[in-house]
Amino acid sequence: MPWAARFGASLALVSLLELLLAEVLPAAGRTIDLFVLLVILSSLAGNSLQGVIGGLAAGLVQDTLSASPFGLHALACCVVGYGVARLSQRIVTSQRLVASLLVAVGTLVHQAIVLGLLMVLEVGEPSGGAVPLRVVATTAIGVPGLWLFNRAQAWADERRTLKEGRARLR
Amino acid sequence: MSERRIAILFVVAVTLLVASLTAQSPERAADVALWVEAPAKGLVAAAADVADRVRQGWRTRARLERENDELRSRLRELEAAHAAALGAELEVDLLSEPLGYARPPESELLLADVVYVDYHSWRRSAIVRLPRGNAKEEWERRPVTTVDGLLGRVVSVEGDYARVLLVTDLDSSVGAMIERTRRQGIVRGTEEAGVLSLAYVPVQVDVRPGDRVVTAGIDGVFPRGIPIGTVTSVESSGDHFHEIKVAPRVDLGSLSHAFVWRRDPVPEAVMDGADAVGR
Repeated sequence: MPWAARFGASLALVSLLELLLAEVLPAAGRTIDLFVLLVILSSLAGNSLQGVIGGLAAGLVQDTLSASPFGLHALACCVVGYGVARLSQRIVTSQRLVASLLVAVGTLVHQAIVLGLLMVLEVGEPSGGAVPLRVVATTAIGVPGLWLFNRAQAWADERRTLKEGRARLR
Repeated sequence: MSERRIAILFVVAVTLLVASLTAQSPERAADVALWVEAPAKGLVAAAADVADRVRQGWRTRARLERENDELRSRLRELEAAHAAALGAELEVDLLSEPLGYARPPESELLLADVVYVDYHSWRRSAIVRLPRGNAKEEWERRPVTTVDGLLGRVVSVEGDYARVLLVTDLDSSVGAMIERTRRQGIVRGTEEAGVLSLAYVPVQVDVRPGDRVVTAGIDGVFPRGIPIGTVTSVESSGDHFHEIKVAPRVDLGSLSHAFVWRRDPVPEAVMDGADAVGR
């Protein structure tokens, strides 16, 4: 399955989850940022181009779903996606602590950009007090998400290797 | 795709998104632009100021280096002249000893406070307070100078105070010479306050405005070489002598301290019959 298709499917799933959270648990929906989590996880596994495009796409979808100015989350997610992808090319991200730190820092940067832009443009009501909570909550969700993501990737690799082995045996 | 192209794509995407966001809030965007522009302009102005200072600094430095070279050159000349003068002094000492030549005695300067000055009325004089403990000395006819040049001479003493007849007084006369030519004459005060005249300089003598006039040491009171003033005008209308005007070197309007020379003048008895000068 190509990266674009996988990312598109994940994006659709995240959008659905966000909509569900907003309906069922509005407080959790406001606190946990699943889009930025998707961008960070995708960028950790992919290259810089995937980081930029993934961040842009996820941000635009988030902008469409939220009432914020169009392009606000797209800009933040694009920066985070590109930054995380570039960083993951330079440091070893297989360690859980490093990956967790990247998730936390990525979320923090995303929130800082969104908050800064809201303050500069004077649109909406930026709430700086919610930023630490959002960072902690998103990171708390992101770490097991990262573990699941890695497990899924390992499982997919295993299956692919198995399939290739069987094909050779035939 | 290369990392460079991806970076360009990232910058383009961010720029477009920023443009999109500012388009949604144009008034605020203008404020933000102004907010960014003002420090940027300040930064540019500061940079221009720094560049200007650096340029001026370089110019000043070049000028100072040039002046320094000139001064070093001048210093070398003066050192050579000083060495020559020391040699000449030594030579004079050596030659004068067998001849029995009596050199002028060394003088000591005593600092005195000027407590009164009158340089406009008919009697142009100053009063100085003499240093304590010197009241018993013979102060009359002793020269009085400032750091700039000749002020006058002591004419009377009462207690710690001495009256000084200013060089610009009509009754004052000082043996003087033009430093450049060493031609001698007599400096006197004139009706015009602050103007001196140099008399008895023959019309054949070369005198030019700007020539320095110093004491000649021929009047029995003032030692040789004290600056008196500068020639301001020379008229040769007279039959025998120039009419020379001299601007005093000492600014009488800014007197605060003076030096009284502890130097014995030629005794009055010897000076009998020579009262045209130094009185």
